[in-house]
Amino acid sequence: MAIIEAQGLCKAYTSAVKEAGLAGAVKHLFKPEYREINAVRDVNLSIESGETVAYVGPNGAGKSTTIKMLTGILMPSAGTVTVNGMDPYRDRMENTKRMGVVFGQRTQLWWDIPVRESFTLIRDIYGISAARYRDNLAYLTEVLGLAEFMDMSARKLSLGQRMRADLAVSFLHDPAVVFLDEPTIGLDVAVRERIREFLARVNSERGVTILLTSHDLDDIRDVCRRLVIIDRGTVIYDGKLQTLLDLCVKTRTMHLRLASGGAILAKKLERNPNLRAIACEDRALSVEFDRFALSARDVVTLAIEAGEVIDFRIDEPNIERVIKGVYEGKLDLTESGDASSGGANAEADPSRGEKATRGEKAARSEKSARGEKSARSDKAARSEKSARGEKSARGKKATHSDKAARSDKAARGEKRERKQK
Amino acid sequence: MRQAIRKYRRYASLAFQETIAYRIPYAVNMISIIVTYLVIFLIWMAVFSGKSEVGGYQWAEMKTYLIISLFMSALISGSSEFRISRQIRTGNIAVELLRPADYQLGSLAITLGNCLSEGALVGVACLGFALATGPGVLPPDAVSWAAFALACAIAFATKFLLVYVFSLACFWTNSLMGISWLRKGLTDFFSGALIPLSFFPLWLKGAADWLPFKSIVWVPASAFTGRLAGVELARALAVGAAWAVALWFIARFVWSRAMRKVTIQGG
Amino acid sequence: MRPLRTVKLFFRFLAQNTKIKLEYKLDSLILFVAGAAMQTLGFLFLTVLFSKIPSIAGWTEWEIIFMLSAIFISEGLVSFAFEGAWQITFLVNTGELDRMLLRPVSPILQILTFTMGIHGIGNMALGAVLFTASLAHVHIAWTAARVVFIPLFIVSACVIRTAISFAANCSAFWLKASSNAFPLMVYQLADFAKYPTSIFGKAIEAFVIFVVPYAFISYIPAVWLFDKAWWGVFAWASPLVALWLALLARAVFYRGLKAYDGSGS
Repeated sequence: MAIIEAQGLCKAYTSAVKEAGLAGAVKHLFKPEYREINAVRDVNLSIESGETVAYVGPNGAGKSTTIKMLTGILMPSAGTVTVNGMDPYRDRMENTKRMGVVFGQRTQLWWDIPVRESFTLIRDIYGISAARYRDNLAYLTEVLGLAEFMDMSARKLSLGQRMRADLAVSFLHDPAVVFLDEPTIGLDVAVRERIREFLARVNSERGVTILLTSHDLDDIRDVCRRLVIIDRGTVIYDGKLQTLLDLCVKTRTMHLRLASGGAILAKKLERNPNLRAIACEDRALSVEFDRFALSARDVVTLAIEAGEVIDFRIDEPNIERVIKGVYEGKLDLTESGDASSGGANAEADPSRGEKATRGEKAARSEKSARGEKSARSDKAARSEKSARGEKSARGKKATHSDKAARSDKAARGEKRERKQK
Repeated sequence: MRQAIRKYRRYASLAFQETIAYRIPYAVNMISIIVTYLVIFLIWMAVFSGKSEVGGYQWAEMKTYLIISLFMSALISGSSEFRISRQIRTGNIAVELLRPADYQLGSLAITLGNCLSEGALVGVACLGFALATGPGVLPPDAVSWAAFALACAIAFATKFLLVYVFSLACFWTNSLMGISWLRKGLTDFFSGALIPLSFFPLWLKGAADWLPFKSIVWVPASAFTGRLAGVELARALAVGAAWAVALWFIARFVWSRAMRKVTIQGG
Repeated sequence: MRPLRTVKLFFRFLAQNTKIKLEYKLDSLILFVAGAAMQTLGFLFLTVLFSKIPSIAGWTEWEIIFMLSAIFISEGLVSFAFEGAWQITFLVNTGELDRMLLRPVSPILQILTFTMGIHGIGNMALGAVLFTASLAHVHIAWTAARVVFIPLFIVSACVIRTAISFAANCSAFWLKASSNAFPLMVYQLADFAKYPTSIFGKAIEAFVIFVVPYAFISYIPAVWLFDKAWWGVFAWASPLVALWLALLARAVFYRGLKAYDGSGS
């Protein structure tokens, strides 16, 4: 039985419609008009115990609303929700004992008392046994590093400290499920990593099911194995993160370090229709290759045969671009099997069917053949973007193109590229 | 100069719109005020029942006094009261301070805007009430009307300034409910809104005479009914005006102290 | 087991809130003084009024002061222990209510104990003083029943007060505005109960007895204690009214929760 089960979940609001200005305000006073907003439309979710799920979508997509329905804060307009085998709205007392919630923007702590006392209050409210409380507190204090601010009141904590304390609070009573709503928002890199480690650890060590919403894609990547994308109230993707990447990322970029002769090597490599040089210097060459046609090992082999390669590096696919593309409906997800329509678009590649299966194999072998892993740095992001940015007609040099607004050109560029093949 | 006027007029218009933005709360707010004074009115009616005169007042005069009192007290209540204190409390005041507008004047404009929306309805209610409850007393001549108008202006200014100054206390304390009660209690009592000042025993009357509150209800209401007239009225108006001016400067002074506190200690 | 735990938690929250409030000495002092001032002015009003009039509708000064004091005491206790109800508008509009919905404690309890009003202590004290003073000045034919009645109706008064306040504040669920005057208006209606409601005419009297039963806080008990009318014996219905109102308030709350929109992101 799934630990979280939602079927046909809907939530609709009425909102006042008013014209601007003084006249409109007075008019609304006497003849009000309302319209209905469907925040969540027919969402189906099934999450097994122990899963880690990322719940992602643009602002206003209905993420928070869904979470609020799953946690029993809101009553759905239609559909059913079952968490821990209970209706979270009706069986609030029982369900809240088995569930934890972390809000990125609000704290669970009591504002004016020391953190330590907030914990004891939680202990009494949830009826945690003294022994269990002691053990959990010790564990959480150690993993999250709470000792330094246990005796400070919540109003004096920094955001990072407060977040760690909030995490502790929500895991203190050994919940079976924990919901996190933007837990890393506004935090610095070090704290974010710490939190991600904590979540991954508590999931693997204690089997806590985790449902996480975030705009930070590292959160998604490091903690969650499954990704659900929601946009305008409906789920448009539900599956593994890796699968999404496989489906949507058609090319990868490899950076080669050479003894010399970059230009020559570039020309040689470009004879292969699945390769394209995107940046070329005497001692360095960056090539973009169709990952379904060639594996990384293939590319390396080709390069070594044709020139003097000292070292190479492969960029990780850029999740952010992928998801952004999905939001904007530019990437067709009909191949994924679990997703509903994300909006048809001219991107569909007719031969993608076989490419997909080949792609999975290629992906697997790529992983094994991969030399060094590149650090997920700006460079990686930049080159991936440049790969999708300026395309062939524009010339080989791609310096740090600026961000996302290029996706249009990227789409067009990809079409062009495929036609070339 | 014209720009300044336009700017403040915008404030007032926005405030007006804001009040109307939610129909039910607006109506409820109005009703709430009316209820309060209904109680007072009815108590007095009971007091007067069976008697032709109480404490030197006839019922007709008393009735008029009370209705004017209701109208004056109802001005500048509701949203304006808490607006400033809430801004201070939440720290939003910082945003206001960044705007190129004088906070005091801006508040005045906003209050005027609120006044129009609230006052309009209350005014209508008062009129209806007055007509429904039998004869009252009207100002005998044009001069009295003029005096009444002047008294109203002073009353408005005084009340606004009192609300403003008391609200500024929120820079030093978190207890905006307490401040509001204190002000409301003192104002209601010493302005004559609950009981005409002529009822007060001598010792209390002396205190009330020197406070600014009486300009808010006692003076305009009595000017209207003609109880205050001639020299006494002129004197009362002058004192009221003097207080209004004094309060304006007190408000500026408190404001500057508050600013000092903010910039030194941080909001 | 559960009610006991609820009670324990209640006192825990109350103690904690008091401790916190006392840290803010200036604020507490102001609130205290302001509350006392309001009450005193109310009392002064009566005094000044009665300096010119011997009685209103057959009620003497001290009889009315008795009624007033009953209101003060109940109001004081409610302000002290259950002030949180007034924060419902805030809780609903900022989404702070969410936090409460996620804990395995009755959200009603959490709301009531969300904050504590220190001025309540002053009100209670003043009320008690006036209460005992008025008892000395009025004519009551004391019987065992009457003696028992006193604490009973005070307790009922507190419950009635809380329930009405709470239910009125729940209007925040439907009236979506950052400042909600409805509960204040309902609170104002209690003014009618400070005076013998016969003054206000049949319509209002019926209203304060049947619609918003403030009359059971002070008026009807006073009528019975002072032997003013035969129907004063209905004062014994106060506890029942209190119970009924409590259940009603609870129902209103849960109905409001259904309409709850959630707010913020």
